[in-house]
Amino acid sequence: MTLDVETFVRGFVAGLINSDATAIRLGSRADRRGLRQVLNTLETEIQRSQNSNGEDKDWYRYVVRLRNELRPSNNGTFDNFEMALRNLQLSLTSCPNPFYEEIAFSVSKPYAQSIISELPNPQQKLVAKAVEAFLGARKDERIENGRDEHRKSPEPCT
Amino acid sequence: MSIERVRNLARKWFPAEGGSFQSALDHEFDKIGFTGDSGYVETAIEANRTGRASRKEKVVKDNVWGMVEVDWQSIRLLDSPVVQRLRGIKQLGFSYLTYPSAEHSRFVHSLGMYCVVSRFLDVMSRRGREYQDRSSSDDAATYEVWEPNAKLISDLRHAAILHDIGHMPFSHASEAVFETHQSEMTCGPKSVDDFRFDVEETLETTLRFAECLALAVVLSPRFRNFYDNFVRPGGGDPDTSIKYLGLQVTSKSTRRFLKLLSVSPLSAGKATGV
Repeated sequence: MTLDVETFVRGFVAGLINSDATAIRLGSRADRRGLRQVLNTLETEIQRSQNSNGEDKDWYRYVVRLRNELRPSNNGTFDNFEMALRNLQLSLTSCPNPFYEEIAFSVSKPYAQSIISELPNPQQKLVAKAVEAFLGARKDERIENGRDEHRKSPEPCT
Repeated sequence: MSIERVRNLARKWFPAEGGSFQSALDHEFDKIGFTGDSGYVETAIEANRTGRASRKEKVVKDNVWGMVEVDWQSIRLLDSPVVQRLRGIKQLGFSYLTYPSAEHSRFVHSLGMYCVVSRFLDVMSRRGREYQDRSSSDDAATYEVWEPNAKLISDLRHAAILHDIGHMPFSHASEAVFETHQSEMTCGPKSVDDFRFDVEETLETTLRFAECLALAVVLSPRFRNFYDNFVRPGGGDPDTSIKYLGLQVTSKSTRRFLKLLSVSPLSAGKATGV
């Protein structure tokens, strides 16, 4: 079992493609909230591994290192996560627009499914939880934004 | 990373009752002359206590930075075997084989880092005062002025001197060997993998092997005794000061000034020319 950051991020992107996501926009609040939820998922997994009496030391170490690699930097941005996503360019991701803020997913669903099926079972589960957390947080943020938009008073006509 | 996590790491590595890791580290300290009982550390502390240890500042001539003024506390740190050891470690690893002039040591680099950090701090203090003088006549100041106090200045200067003490011969070249064969290499009684994981698990951050070693040196009881009673006698709460130094040495502090120094393109480490 290859336990590294790249494998997890590949699985994460493949999971997003399977769930009909087409891109990650790192400048958007919704997506940043989603990445924060992915980190929370990893924290939960770390707690779970710790409480299982050290049955799988390698797995625990893997998740701790993954969390450390993907956590936000001192200024709050997900630099390392972004770097991991951009490192998948020419295979799973691409940055088509000139501002490079959007990381688009450039493979088909069947291929994404095959990436996930190649992952060992524990990683598949972790990836599935991470994808669910990301999409859930993104959806919540958009709903809240929708509510805020409705609350704003309309601009006066000139 | 917080100071509480650094304390936890110190407790893990160096429990009150001692341990094999501490013994192994003390054995290595003995080899470089940083001896404990009746040795270098105790002699230095005794000399300070009886007033025989000098408190004069020095001026060191450097071919890059010119004349560098070094305060007496930093002199004591620079003169210690743990820092003098850096004279034997080439900054650029094996690069001297291709570029014959690349012969300078980590010691010179650490001294340069000290000089650059001191200059940063001096400029920040001076500009802060100038801004305050200008804005006192205005109705509202645009920026909040952050002026480092004397303690923080000392902390940062000492962190600059100590930031590379964990380096091994040929710097990053040997580090790459250790990081590639983590399970096979040992660090005292622990494997390199276990040793690094202690840091990753407790501090929740990934550090290079040399930075982990620097932390181990700074948090060790022998170094703490030396630092608190000789380098910085009467410098406040010893537990806090050494843990804070450990925080800064690894350059991952959340303090905005160290972030500026360590992470930005204008970092002091890069300014000293690799």
